[in-house]
Amino acid sequence: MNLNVLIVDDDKMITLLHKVMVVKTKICTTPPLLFSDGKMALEFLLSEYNPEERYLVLLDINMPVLNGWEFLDSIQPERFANNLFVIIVTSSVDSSDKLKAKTYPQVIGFLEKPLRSESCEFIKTMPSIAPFFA
Amino acid sequence: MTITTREDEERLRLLESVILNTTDGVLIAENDHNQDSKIVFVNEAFIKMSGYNKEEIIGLSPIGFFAPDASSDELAKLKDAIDKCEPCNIVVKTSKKNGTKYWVNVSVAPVSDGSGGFKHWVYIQRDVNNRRRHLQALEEQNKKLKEIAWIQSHVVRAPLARIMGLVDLLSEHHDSEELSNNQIIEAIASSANELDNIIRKIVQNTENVQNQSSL
Repeated sequence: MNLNVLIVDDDKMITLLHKVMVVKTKICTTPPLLFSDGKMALEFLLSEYNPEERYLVLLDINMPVLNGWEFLDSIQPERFANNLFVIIVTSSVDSSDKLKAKTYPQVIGFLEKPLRSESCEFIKTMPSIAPFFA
Repeated sequence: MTITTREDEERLRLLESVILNTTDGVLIAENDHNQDSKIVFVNEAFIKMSGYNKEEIIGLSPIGFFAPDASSDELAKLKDAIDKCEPCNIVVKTSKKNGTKYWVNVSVAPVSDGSGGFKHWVYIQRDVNNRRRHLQALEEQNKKLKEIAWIQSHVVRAPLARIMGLVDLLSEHHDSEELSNNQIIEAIASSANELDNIIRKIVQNTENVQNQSSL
């Protein structure tokens, strides 16, 4: 089964960098989808979501329109059940953000920008999504 | 007149001079028939602090004096202490005659009449306006420092993270249709500029906080 990767970040250069990284480290086999704010990613999920598919969202916190927290508040865990995983990828090194992230069941990880080869390899070992890379 | 009485008088005069010369405002209130009390003595410091003259203060109810500006919590605390004949200490906002509001710490104590009853109350009022203002200034500064910490974490790290990621790509001899090496170098340069601007802004903000604290 393929893992659809959504990269959500208002920094265009970061979305490009992360795209290159997830492709290079083979986190996804189909090209990742890039979104410049939470609202665009949410609209995509609400209209295109397929329960047969699995989604991995690499989510920035600090974004205009709909920020990372608002995006998390808007995705109902019941609807996306076990098919949607979120990894927060932020430039923040603020520990309160890390604690807040833990309160969302969909969040399976919290990484600091930039995503490097090592962080991508680490993503592949996260228990909830490791089976995709076995 | 006996020697003991003269000593007593001397002692009383000394005690009186404390009330007359202190910079704390002092009121003495006497219980009236309606379970309220009215002010029977006011010292010079209280008159100076409040702007009211002696005639305007004598005869008033002390609770009535503080009631218009005090928070309901503090007022309830004062009434409760009076009901129970217990001392209490409150910090309230009050008005001068000219309408200026100021913060005072008021300690209220019942005075025993020597036969188990309480007929008088002593109110000692201290101006804590300056202390209060300092506290507010400190809180304001703390808020600004927190903002600076937030900017450091979110805003400074953004271009820095970009530079780190771009350098990674370059060092791995990456070459793809997404990003050419020239584009990467250009992006590093613009991120470095952005970082420079942010740091200058932080220094400026910190200087503003420092200037305010030295006021």
